[in-house]
Formats: sequence, C-alpha cells, structure tokens
Amino acid sequence: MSNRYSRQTLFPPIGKMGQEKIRTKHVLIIGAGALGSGNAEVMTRAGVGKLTIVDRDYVEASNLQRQQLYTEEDVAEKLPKAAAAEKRLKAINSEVEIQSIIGDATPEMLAELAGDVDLIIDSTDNFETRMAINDIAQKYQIPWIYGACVASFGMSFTIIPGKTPCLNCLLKTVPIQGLTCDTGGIIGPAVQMVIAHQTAEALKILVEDWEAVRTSFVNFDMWRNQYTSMKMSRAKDPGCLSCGEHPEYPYLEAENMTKTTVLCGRDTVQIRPPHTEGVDLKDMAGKLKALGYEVKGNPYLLSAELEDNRFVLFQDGRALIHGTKDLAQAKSLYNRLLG
Amino acid sequence: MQVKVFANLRDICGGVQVEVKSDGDRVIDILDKMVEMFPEIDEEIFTEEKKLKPFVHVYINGKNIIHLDDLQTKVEQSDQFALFPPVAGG
Repeated sequence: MSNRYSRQTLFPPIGKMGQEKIRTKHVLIIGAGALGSGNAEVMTRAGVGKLTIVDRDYVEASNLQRQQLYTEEDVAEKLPKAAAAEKRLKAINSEVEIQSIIGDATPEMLAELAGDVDLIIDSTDNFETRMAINDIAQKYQIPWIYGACVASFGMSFTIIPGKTPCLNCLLKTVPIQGLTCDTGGIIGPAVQMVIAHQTAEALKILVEDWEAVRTSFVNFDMWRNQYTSMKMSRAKDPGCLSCGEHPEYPYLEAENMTKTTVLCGRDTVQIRPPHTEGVDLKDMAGKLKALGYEVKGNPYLLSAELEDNRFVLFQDGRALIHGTKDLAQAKSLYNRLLG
Repeated sequence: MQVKVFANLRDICGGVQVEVKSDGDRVIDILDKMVEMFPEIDEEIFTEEKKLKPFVHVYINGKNIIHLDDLQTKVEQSDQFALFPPVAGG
C-alpha cells in the first residue's frame, strides 16, 4: 500500500521525513481501556514501527460503549484486553509490529521494556502506575503523555524529561479516591478528546518537532463547553526526587508500591496501598450506595456487596476483596473504585 | 481574587472561575471563604481534620502549595489560584 500514508505526509510538519521517523519509533501504551484502545488505534494507523500495549484486564460488556477496539465477541470470549487489542490492531495495519502483554505494569516490567521505547502514552486508570511510569520515564529519559478522563471532562499534560516539570513535581503524593469511571461515569466524547490531545502530542514527539509540543496542562469539559489550560513551567521542583538534581526514583521502590496478597484459604485478596493519607469512608460509602450497592459500615471500615465480590475498605486505604484469588482482578477492581 | 476551579468542583461553584473576596491572605483564608460561599464544597475538598483531601490540589501560579507553605501559603490578588482534583480514569 504505497499511498497508505499519503494524506499524513502531505501535512507539511510531518512530510516524508517525518513519516520515516514515525516508522522507526517504538511506542509503549500502558493500559488498553478507553484511552489505550483509542491511542493504540491512532498510532497504528499513523504507521509507528512498533507498538507495545500492556493491560491486566479482560473485556466486559460495560467497556463496549467507549473502548473502540472491542466487540461483543471479545466480551463473550472474555478475552484479555491486550490480546483482543492485538488482534484488531494487526487487522488495521499489518505493517506495524504489535506486542501485547497481559499483566500488571509493574516497575520491573516497565524497566524491562524501557530500553528501546521512544515514547510512553499513559492510558492507565490509577496514579500509582502513573508515578511508576513517571520515574521510569525520568530514569531512561523517555517522553510520556499523561491523559485521564471521567464523566464529561478530561485532562492531559506532556512530560519531557529535562525540560518540563514531571508528575511528581505536580502532585508529590499519589491521589486516591478521586472520581473514577466506575463511580462518576464517562461519556465517549470525553475519551476521544483526551485521545486527540495525547496522539497529537505523540505525533509531534515522534517526528521530533519539539517546538510544537504543548507545555501547558489542558483540561476541558465536553458537556459544559469549557476548555482551559494552565501554565506549568514554574512547577518544576529542583529538589524533586523523580526529576530533580539528585533523583531517587521513589516510585520504583517496592516499599512505595501497593502490596497485593492472597489470604490463605479465604478466597480473598488483600490490597495495601503505600503511604496514603487514608480514605474518607463516609464519602466512599456514599459513592457505592449511589451505584446501588448495599453498604454497611462502622467508623473503622465499610463493607459493600458488589456483583461478584464483597469489598471491605479500611480507613488506612487497605482493602479486602472477597470472592477471588486473582491478584490482578482484585487490584483492577480496587483501582476502578478508588482510582 | 479569581479562583479557577476544575472538574466536578465546577458544578458546585457554578462556573470555571469564581471571584473570592477574603479578608485573609493565606490559601486557607481563600478556601474558608469559598466554603462560606458554596457550603457543598467543604465535603469535596476538606477532611474532618480540615486538611485537603488527598486528591485535591491547590496550585498558585502553576505551583503546587505542597511545595510552598501548604494551606498557610500567602497569596496576592494578582496570583493565579487553581483548585484542582487530578483525574485518574482512563
């Protein structure tokens, strides 16, 4: 298909030279949910050399409304998202080398992959993984693009090591218990707008048009027609442990990661997040009740009956997920509820 | 002082930007005034110990107050004040 990329190369900032650069690049996408499937499709159609996509989940019916790579057949077969994504992406563009990995994007996995990656596109649903991506990106000097959405709003920020502030400069702690797609809902257009921002940045980075890369933090609300951006250049912290003068990459350390363990003989997984400032049980109980779940509680914990699992959350953020021995499934449920 | 609010806080404050006239000049004074103006925001941003909830961040001129004097950070009328819950979904 000699004219496959003709409309993209006609666009002067890309041109034939840019297309050749795109063809030699390796893009890593963490997460194959709504953002991941959209980002992967745009990158595959654009003709990247290699695309690696990592996800720990399988396709469910509630994904189909916005996760563009998946079909009813994938739901019926309970296919892992990474495997279903690979199948579809190969059908879209056989010239692209697609690598799919079914599993949790741990710091170890990210470090193994980082060697020959040119760009990371964040498509995950939690800040713990994002902080690990941020540290890996700083350590191996890889640009990465934060993107997130919930309800009708979304946000994105491009992080270039050595140039822009990093996610640790902006947040310093791992925020949990914000709105998630499972608690606040999500509409397709909000997903697509974040994908549009992330992939536009991705193309600029792949063709090395550094001048064109956005330096502000964008955020928008597709329902209320609001669009704002915030300058972030002053946010760079010289003492930052991820990108400062003496980096320690704290989010690659085991003690800063969530611990998941199967509780012996109990068909239960325990999830213990690191160093959180605790969770607001009353607030969480309200969100779960609003979703129609039966919630009981006391000042120390709450207990909710979900579809297939009983979910018990303690004040320090620790949770027990009853009815499973699957660590990845339990962690995925935790992140879907708490972010 | 003009305070930019983001995400779900916009529903409570009824817009993208709110004019807050506070007597004090610290971040906490501005936020207290906002709670007075929009009582529902209290539960969204503060814990019972009156600290910011872990997913709520305040940026002054693009800099997180965690790197400044936290809630005691002094602000000037001309500063860009943003109240911001980072979004996790994807």
